[in-house]
Amino acid sequence: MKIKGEFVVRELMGDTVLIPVGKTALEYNGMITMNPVCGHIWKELAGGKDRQQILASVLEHFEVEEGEAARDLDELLEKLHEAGFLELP
Amino acid sequence: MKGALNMTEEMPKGQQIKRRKVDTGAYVSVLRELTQQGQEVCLLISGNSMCPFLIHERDSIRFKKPDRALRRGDMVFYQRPNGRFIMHRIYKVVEQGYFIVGDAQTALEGPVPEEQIFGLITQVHRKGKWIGPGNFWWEFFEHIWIRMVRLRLPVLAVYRRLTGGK
Repeated sequence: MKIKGEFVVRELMGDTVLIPVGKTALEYNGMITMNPVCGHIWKELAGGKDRQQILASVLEHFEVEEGEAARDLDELLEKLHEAGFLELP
Repeated sequence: MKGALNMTEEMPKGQQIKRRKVDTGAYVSVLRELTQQGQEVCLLISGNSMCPFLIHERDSIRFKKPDRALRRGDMVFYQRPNGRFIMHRIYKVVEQGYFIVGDAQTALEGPVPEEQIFGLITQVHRKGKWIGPGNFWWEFFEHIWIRMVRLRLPVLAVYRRLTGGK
């Protein structure tokens, strides 16, 4: 999995936000606001982790049952893919 | 994690992420920090002071930290002492800073000290297209309109009549 485009992660008013910069800012005007879990997943994606590693990281950092975490992770990855922010294998 | 993503402003086609607006001041502060780190960023226009060149919530600007001496006609982003962020155009360079005016305005503001200016606009997204130096309207507002401050009111009155006030 690979993040498409150039984004900077920042904390803004209690939210984790992705701000498009450089050429990516020409395509996406605005920013993406994420909850803490999504922000954590994005940082792991940016660090080059794969799905299994991200799932393990989510289970380690948040109180969530594995099946639910896996379903929600897949849903989020699909959403990011549909929005054009993520290349899926 | 459901419903975890929200998106402000424009998004690519075909996605289902929600849109919402955020506090402009807080957002611009983050953008300013990014430009200070060398990034180039974009922002949707809010307000009518740069009309008729840039229209509220239709057009956007792209800006970066100024990397050259600022001059008449440049569009710049600055912060007033009261904390408000403003994007207008340089009318005149003086020893103490810059006199600045919006494209829709006739009253000059200034001198604005150099240290208050943090962004130089490099491109604008106008009527659905990114334009920059070399574009007719970009050059017109940078070089001609800025010299017509006193004539703006009658010209804008005619413009509004022709466009039905839009």
